[in-house]
Amino acid sequence: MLVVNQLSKNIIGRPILTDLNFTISPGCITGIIGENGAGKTTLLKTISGVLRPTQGSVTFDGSDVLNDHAIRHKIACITEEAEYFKYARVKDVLNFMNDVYSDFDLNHFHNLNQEFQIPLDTKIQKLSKGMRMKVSLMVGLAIRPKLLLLDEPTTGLDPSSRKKLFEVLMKEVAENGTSVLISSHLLNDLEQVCDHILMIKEGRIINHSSLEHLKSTIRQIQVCFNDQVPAGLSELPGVLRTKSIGRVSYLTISGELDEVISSIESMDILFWESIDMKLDDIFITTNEVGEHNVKHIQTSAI
Amino acid sequence: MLNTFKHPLYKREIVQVRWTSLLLTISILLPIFIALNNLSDNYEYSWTMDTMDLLTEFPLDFFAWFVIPILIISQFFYTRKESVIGILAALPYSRSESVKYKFLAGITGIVFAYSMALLIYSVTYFSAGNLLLGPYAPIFYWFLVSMSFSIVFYAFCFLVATVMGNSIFAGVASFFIFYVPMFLLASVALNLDLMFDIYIDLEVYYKFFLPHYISYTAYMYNVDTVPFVKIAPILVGYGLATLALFKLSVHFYNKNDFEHNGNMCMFVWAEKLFLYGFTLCFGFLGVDFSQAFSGGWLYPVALLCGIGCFPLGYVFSKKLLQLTGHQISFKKS
Repeated sequence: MLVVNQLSKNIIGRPILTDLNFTISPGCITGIIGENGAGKTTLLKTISGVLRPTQGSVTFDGSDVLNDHAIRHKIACITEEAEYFKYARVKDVLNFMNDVYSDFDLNHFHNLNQEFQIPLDTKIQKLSKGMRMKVSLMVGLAIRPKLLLLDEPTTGLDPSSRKKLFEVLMKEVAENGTSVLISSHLLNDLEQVCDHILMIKEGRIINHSSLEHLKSTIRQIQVCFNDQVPAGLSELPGVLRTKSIGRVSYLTISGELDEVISSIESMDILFWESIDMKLDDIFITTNEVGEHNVKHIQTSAI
Repeated sequence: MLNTFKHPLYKREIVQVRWTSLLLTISILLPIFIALNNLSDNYEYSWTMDTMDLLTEFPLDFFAWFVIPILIISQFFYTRKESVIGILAALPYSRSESVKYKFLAGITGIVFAYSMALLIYSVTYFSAGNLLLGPYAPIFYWFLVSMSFSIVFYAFCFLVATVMGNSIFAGVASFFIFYVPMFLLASVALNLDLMFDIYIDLEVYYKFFLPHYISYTAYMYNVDTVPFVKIAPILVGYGLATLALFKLSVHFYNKNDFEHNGNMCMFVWAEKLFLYGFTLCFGFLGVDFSQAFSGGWLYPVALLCGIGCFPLGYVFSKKLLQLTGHQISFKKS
């Protein structure tokens, strides 16, 4: 289990991460989402032990990640930037990692490569960005990690490769109970694989809950009025924002629907229906209206 | 020892230094080849180390002093990149281990280069036939003293590179930090002597910083009577200096906050040191050059120009810090 306890990170006196507390259970895929500069990469780097926390601690299976470097045999940090191996061939990277990690599984690498088809004799610098990411991913998974950290893994990947990547991730989690912490701006992709979401804003956690719970806290309804859209819809309790097109209005609602629905049903409406909100819509709404206005969103221990 | 050579970090670092080590080998061998070539046309010279030195007109490993900072740059270039440190620092090794194998790989590169030079030297010496007039001992002394000195210089550059966040500036700065004080000291001593008849003996200082001075001047004229034990204290001194510099390097590398990678310096105190150290060196060099080109201290305009180099040095060092990233704050002008 990954335990992040009162983690803060300042860079040149500027707080990047502030008092983060959360835990990630084995077998969980957690997506980290936040605007640019929210602190996602800094968080991943601090968890992987690259950056030293200003305050607080990161422990995995009871061991301090920063000081107990042996625990890092169980942690894979995947990044597409492989400049350290720029002039090396893929097989050289493979050999290096095989020497470094005690549980490195060459067979697993070759099995994964049957899926991704990366030529082993090619130099890293000759590979495309997407192919480099695939190499990083295969190497990372061949470590047989218990914790997998992925920073923007879908950058440069075509849709089919993205699909394959997520399939591989889900298989890994199902077979080995690996915990995955993944940051990405492609929220629709995250929605497909993540069971939990960690939302960060200005270095603070504004939400950490299951995707299901998150989706139940912010919902959207479509209301079709018989006549024109009445004024004052945004004043209804729990309504975060409204958008109207002709006689149809879209209401984003936080919390329980009952109160809003009873108010709407008392109006001159043709019909109303609930619409599934996508993760990116939830994210944008939360960022626009402010997390304090979103009811029932809470950071929960998982 | 065998485990060290098999360690993945060591093997990886050797890959990083291999070309620079080759360059270092060439830089040492090149003057030797020039000297040997000259030697074949000058039969009146004997095949001795002092002859080699005279024929090349500078110490045989003179170019190595410039290649060693390049070795440091090549070793730290990728380490100081954010994308690379993300891989390296996440590996299951402590920072002390990482820096240790980096250091050992660099030393290996230097030992390889000097060993190649010794080999070529020895082969040509023993195949020189009739030209062979001098003893072999100075060649071996040269190998030991020069290589040890280069290792100390490397260890010093390595220390500077662990304190600075920009490998290129670290390479250049370490060279200057090592040699500029000697140059300035010599200049001050010369001026004191010329102006006030005050003589300062810098022989001990030279002996440490100019190894060929030891291996040639001290021994070449009576090499048969100089036992090995005489150079042993120098070698021990170099060894201790290397060890101390290495320990300091490990200490500072452990204290590195990698978010400052790419900045001029990794620490606030180092930035202050750079700011004022650069200012002083630039200023003193300006004074020294203006004096050298004007013919003496008494030429007021040249002296004033030289003194003007102090504020100029401050502006340059401040600009360099601002360009590469800094932690200390500058008041807005």
